[in-house]
Amino acid sequence: MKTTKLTNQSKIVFSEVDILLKQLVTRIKDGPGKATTDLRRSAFNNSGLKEPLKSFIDKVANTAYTITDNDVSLVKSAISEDEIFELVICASVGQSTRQFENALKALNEVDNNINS
Amino acid sequence: MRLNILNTGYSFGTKLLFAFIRAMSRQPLPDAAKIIFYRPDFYGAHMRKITQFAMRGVSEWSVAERELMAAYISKLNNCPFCIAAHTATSTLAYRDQNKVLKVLSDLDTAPITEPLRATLRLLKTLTTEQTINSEDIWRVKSTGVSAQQIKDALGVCFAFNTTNRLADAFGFEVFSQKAIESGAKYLLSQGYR
Repeated sequence: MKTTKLTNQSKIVFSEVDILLKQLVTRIKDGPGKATTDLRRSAFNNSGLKEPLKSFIDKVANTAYTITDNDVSLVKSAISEDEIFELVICASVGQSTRQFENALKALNEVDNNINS
Repeated sequence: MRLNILNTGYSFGTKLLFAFIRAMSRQPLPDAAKIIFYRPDFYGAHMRKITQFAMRGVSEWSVAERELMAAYISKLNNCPFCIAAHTATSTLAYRDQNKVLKVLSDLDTAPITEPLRATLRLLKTLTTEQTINSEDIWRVKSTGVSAQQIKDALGVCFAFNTTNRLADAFGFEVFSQKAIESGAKYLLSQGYR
């Protein structure tokens, strides 16, 4: 693991996870895929989608445990399975990334206070 | 699984690999493994590295503690597949089922160290409320947890908040206890590579 300075004052732990996560996010949002990049980015951000995707992707992001066979069947009537595969991944990684980045921001704030 | 492509859409070579794993373990292949091998350039190849690094990379948290974090996050997300898999793996790593079950049922009274308890509370706030603040971080640090340990725990949190959602959305099947324990042994000996 590496330790690096992000700002003059902030000395924050920086590890391979940051790099790997960025690579994953770039790949699923912007790399080649069956779903359009616009659709993948919308799923990642959980915003700007139309039904039936809107409700389904919101469930993936916020209440995945409530997803039923019927939810998936409804989406299958609108897009292909490969597109569903990609959009579910984008929604899941998107929500987890927002959590991770929010937590890192809080960790940075504390780290800045310690080092200032 | 709910998508047919995740049940059958694999290359001949990958199908052979699946058959080999099934023959060696004498257990069905977990859906969590299948998802990694479906179009791996899109997701699986990247996520394998992240999960391996978070769960088996160098850290002040032991493997048992990180597997316990995985089980705890999965419990918070109500993910049956991951609860079963990582309860079994952390139990095997600790060789203490009582400790693991206590954490999952009542974190406040579970027989674990205060630094670990405070870290699990932080992960709970992040997983259930999607956000934490500097006061939450200070609370954990006051128990002696380093910034690096918090960062490492956030890596585990990322991995399982992602995997839990995939498991629930795609409908990962929960196998028999024997198969779950076989999977736990595999994860402890081989990791997530």
